[in-house]
This record gives sequence, C-alpha cells and structure tokens, in this order.
Amino acid sequence: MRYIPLLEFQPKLTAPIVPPSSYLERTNGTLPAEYTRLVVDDQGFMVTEKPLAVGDTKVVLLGGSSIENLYVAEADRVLAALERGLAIGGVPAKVYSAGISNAHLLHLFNLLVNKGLALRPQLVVWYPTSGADVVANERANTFWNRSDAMATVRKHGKELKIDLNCAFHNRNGFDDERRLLRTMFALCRQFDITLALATWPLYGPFDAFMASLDPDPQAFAEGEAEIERLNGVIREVCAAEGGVLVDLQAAFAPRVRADHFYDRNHPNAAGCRVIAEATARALLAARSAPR
Amino acid sequence: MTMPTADDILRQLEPIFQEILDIPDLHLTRSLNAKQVPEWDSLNHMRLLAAIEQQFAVRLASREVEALADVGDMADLVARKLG
Repeated sequence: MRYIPLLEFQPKLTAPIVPPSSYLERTNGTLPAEYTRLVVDDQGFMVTEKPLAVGDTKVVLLGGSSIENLYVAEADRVLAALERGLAIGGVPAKVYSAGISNAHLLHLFNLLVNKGLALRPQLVVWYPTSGADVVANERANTFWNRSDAMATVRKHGKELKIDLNCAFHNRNGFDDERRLLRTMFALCRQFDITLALATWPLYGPFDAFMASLDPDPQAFAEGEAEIERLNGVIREVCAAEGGVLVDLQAAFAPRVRADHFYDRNHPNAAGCRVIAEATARALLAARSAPR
Repeated sequence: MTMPTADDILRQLEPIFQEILDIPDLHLTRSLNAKQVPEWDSLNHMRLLAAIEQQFAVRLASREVEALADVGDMADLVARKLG
C-alpha cells in the first residue's frame, strides 16, 4: 500500500540537540556549537514549554527548515520569539511550529488538512521553502513529479530526499504554487482561520561564503531571481485573497545577511528574531484592522 | 596503549544507537544502514553524528560523513580517527 506521509518530528520527542561538525563546517560561524533542546508535542508540532492557556490564540506555522530552527537555542527560535512578540502586542498565543526540512507547499497543505485543522487554530502562517518550492516549479508536473521524491504519495518507509540541484527556467511560472495557495485560502476560510503568507528574503550579493558553498555565481543569481519571482506570486495571491502578508524580503532588505543567517537559508538567533518580529507585526496589524 | 579496533568501536556504538533510535534491543552489525531501520531518519542521523563526536572526542568532516554507507564504514572512520 502507498501512503501520504506527514513530514513531522517524532511525536512526544524531547531530545538534546547539537550541530555535528559536518553541519557546522558549512556555516558562516554565526551558529554556536551549543546544546539546545527539541520539544515535540503529541501531534508532532515543535512547541515551547509554555502551556496552552484559556484565551490563547492558536497559531500554526507551516514551513521548512528555515523556520524549524533546530540548532538555534530554544528561546531564540521563531516560534518562541513569535509567542513573546504576540504576547507583548496584547495577544497571548500558543504557537505550534510544523517547520521541517524539505517540506514544500503540497506537504504543508497535507499537514494543515490532516493535523493543523485539528488544533482549531485562529491563525496560520505559511513560509515558503525556497529550496523545495523553487525546485518544484522546475520539475515536470511540479509537486507531483514522481521521479524526484517530490510527490507526496510514496511507498512505505521511503524517506523524502528531494534533489535540489536544477537549472532555473521558471518552467511552471509558479502556476501550481499559485493554485495551491489559493486553495489554502479557500480551506482556511471554511474553518474561520486567518491565513498569512510570507515572502522569503533574497541572499544579496554573491560573497566569499556563498562562493565556498557553490562556486557558480550564475546559478546563484538564477536561484535568487526565482525566489524573487516566487515572492511576486505570493504577494499577488495574498492581495487577491485578502490575506495577511509577512514581507520578509522587505524586512531583511536593509540588513546585513551574514549577521542574520548562518548559511544561505537558515536564520541564526538574530534572523529568527527578525522573522518573528515581522510576523508578529503583520498578525497584530491584521487583528486591529477594521473588517 | 592499544588503539581500539573497528570491532571495538562497533561495540561502543551499539548503546549510542540504541538510545538515540530508541530501540533498546538493536544489535549493530557492520552491514546495517539507515534504509533498514525506519527510526534512523535524517534528524536521528545528525543526532548520531553529534553523539559519536562527543563520545569518541573526534570531529567528522562533511566529506567523510557523506561517504559513509553503513555502520561498518562509521566504525572504520572512528577507528582511523583514533589510530
């Protein structure tokens, strides 16, 4: 029998986490080699220790490893910083993070349908996975490409491992991304959920660190252009659907990238803070806006 | 002082694997690999690498880690580092 796996951490897992040397050597030195802790609830969501309180707004974060923040100190992760930011803004909240490596939009849609809705959240925030979402746009039949571990339907026991190497031609024009995002808005409306979409920051100039990871500046520039196109689609859908936009591209534009990310896509503690603050600002503004 | 052999390392790896994969009766063989153990996913792989580095006080480089095919390769690598 084939099945649709939910990309998630092992439910009820609480474990000490430290980045191994093989991971640290591919960073720019802004990720400390310190132990932190992974706390996963009984539904496979990453959570803080703060218990759900009566009156808390429930927020679900959907995204890839960029908001998983596995090796970032517990208190500095996006979910913890967002919980604090919303509380400071007068909206006590419990944040459930479904961020996990390699999750593309269809994985996250499945996750929302199959376990996110069960939480009865008031807010859902989707962050693009710049690797998997951009690569899906280049594959034949996009998210349903069966030769590349892209398709969500698979044989039991086969772990997802998307090949992220590709040439960029904007093959699908992000049309399937656009359709799935619209469908996600329709789904959220049915369950009285406010949906927020985030754009993703560009890396900026091709620097020495990026050259050490990928010596091809042309491929780097093409990848950046695709993220910019994806951001355009996200803005377009969000505006058309009346959603909340968390514009991380704008939030990071005036900042020094290397101070906020420890590699191309993964925020360090300072980057997590910026993501959480931008998200909290957008959600609080939407909450106070007249309907 | 005698340096541990790969077989010695294999025996010392067993309790690490048992704890991190949460399989108390897991028996390590040289040919065991991640495809044969559902609990050995990418997260637990990283946890294993970190625990091995700490246990044996070695550093495993990414090019070395990427070349590992099974537990035997891992034990050989650690033995070489300690040798």
